[in-house]
Amino acid sequence: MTTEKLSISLSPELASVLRLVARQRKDDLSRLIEVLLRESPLVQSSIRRLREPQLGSPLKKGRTMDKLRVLGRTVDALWEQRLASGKVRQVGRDA
Amino acid sequence: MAATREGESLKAALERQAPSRALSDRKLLLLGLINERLGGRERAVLVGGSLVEFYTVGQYQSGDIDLVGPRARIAKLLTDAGFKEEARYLYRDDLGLVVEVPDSHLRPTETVVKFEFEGLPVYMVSLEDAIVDRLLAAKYWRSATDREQAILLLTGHLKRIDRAVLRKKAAANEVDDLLGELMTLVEAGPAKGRPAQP
Repeated sequence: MTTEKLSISLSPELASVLRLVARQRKDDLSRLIEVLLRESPLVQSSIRRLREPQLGSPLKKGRTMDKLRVLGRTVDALWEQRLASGKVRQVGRDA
Repeated sequence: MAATREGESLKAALERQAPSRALSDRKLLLLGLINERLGGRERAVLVGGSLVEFYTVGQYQSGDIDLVGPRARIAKLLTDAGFKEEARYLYRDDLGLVVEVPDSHLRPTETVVKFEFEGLPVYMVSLEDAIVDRLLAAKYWRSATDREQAILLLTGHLKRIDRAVLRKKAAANEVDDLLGELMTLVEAGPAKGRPAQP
């Protein structure tokens, strides 16, 4: 089996994520990239957001903090209502 | 390959219960029915935009359902239940349900919380993880939408958030700086006399 030397350039954002992962694994960056290219659930998890389609209707850009506070109060009230109705309830949590 | 009994029962349950419900409830119903059939050892965990939809009780709406779990098994269940598969997505147009299983593993810092929806098991990553996920996208993909969603999760659940856990998860994912900035905004009162800036 031959080993190819792989030369890639990373976006600053991806480089930053990979440095974080290398630090968490106590690994050096180039070895980490080799491992990750062979498929890693951690890197797949980190780029999950990149794959997430924006199909829904996101909050409009530029909403002020005041609007987000008001919406937050609505979220709080609706959450309490939902729990009070019994339709949804929290029953456990992993350690 | 022949449909499994589990897939067929999922199909029957969906077709009986889903049409009369609002889309948000339909998504939770599907998640619960999938988990009921996976059994306890394997789980389909809600992540992504649909998780934000859950925690904001529909104030933010996502188009699809993002799950982390055993992809092959979930895909088999759904195709046996009448879902079609195209690219990464599994969908049933008639029910307005689109599912993606982008990962089979959660991030090491993510914690799973078990809820019940009308008695069915539905698994989510925690509220603190949902916030950190949005902060990651806001910081690394410079997403204004994710920044706003992080703020909405904070303003909506400020009294429920475990702040120590949130700070720890944010630090582990190197978004503690952004968290600090947004917490300052959230905890400041509304501006008097002029509109507050995001």
